[in-house]
Amino acid sequence: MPKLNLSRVYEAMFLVDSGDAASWDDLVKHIANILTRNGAEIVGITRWDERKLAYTVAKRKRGTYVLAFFDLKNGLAVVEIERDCSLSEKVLRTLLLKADHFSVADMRLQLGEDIRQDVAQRLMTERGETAAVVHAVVSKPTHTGGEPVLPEPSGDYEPRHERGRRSERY
Amino acid sequence: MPKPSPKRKMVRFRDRAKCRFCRENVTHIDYKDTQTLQKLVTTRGKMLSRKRSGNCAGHQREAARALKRARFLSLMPYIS
Repeated sequence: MPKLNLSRVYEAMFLVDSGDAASWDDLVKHIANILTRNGAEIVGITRWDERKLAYTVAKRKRGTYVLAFFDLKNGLAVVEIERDCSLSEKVLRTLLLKADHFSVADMRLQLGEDIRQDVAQRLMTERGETAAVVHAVVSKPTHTGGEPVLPEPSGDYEPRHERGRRSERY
Repeated sequence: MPKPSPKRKMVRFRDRAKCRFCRENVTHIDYKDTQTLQKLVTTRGKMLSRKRSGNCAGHQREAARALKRARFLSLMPYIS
């Protein structure tokens, strides 16, 4: 039997146009408005990264990723948030996921200074966490601007016949 | 068709004691971790098979899920 009034932390990644991200305060207000009017309590919203997209999205080759963590009591509101995002002209893509596996320390690592201390403190006492619990392997990217530094695909088993018929077997 | 010698097979796909995520006790593969995901795809952006990546079944599923999320957000290519 699921507990009623169980609050759950969600993670949201928004892909927005870099031009819109230039007026950062307006954008944060816009995203925060979408979340709060559906009953979410925001843990933090941050500019995660600005990078070249792997493929064009709405005719854009570059985009800014905005990462948000929020606390939501009513899980049905997730659908509402997704719909509001798809109707928004500023948000190009949205990915909403449960983030229960992230501790508050993980969120702090990913949000940096943009975390809201009072909400974080409340979550920590609710969950009975200490500051030392860190599971996340990804922190907020530190490089500012420029091309993203992607490593060459390495690994122990480098494909030998990338384009040949042979490779299609595996 | 001649049978491939067992020695040659061993050189191509070496057996590992554990998968790369099990070795580091990774519980969750994050879609934002493009550096790790980059190691699990070919130069064309296709995901490596378990045989080639050396992942265990659970981590291969996690990695596939993470890759699909990263592709949706245009962090990783569908094709290239």
